[in-house]
Amino acid sequence: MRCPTCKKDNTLRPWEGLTTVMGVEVEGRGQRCRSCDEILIELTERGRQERLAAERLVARGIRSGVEFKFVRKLAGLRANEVADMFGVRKETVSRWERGEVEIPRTAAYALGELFAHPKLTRQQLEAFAQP
Amino acid sequence: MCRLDRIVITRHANQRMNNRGATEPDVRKALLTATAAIRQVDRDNWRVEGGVDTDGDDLTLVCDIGVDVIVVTLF
Repeated sequence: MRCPTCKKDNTLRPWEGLTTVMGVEVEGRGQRCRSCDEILIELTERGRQERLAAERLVARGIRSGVEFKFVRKLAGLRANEVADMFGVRKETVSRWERGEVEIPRTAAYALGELFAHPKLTRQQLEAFAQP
Repeated sequence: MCRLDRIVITRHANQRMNNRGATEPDVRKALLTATAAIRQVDRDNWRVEGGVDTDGDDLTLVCDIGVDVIVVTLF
């Protein structure tokens, strides 16, 4: 594969090192160009790093709207689905994610549970919503 | 190539994903839903437009398309 930055052939070598995903340092691997120092990462590898970063954010506690949105997306949930499960309007979730309104701790915790145990947590939240 | 999972990202694209809050599924969906790939002759790459991320928001990618799809940047 040709380096997309310096356009030279046969300069890419295997690389392993620390990389940052959403402010979380994780171990990564890919290819590094020995000519221009470019680092290329396969998208599937980036996905692995994202899940690792999300696990660490959930363990530490989701603290910001950006982190909330990141974990929500990795949990495979749309904003309206989260809104329905948490009993709030979609606009409220958008305000949490834009940092306009503080995220309730219970919502941050519940999202972490949805990421870690999607099926069980969804069932529990739906059971709460029953009249 | 997207369906064959031959997708690679540069260091800059990786940083742009962090800044924009874009995830791996977002990039994958933007490539699969894109409606046009416009050749940028001066930059020797392709502007992949019309795609959306997992929330349905527009996500444009600039890619070097060869044996693999190399995502150079996104916005």
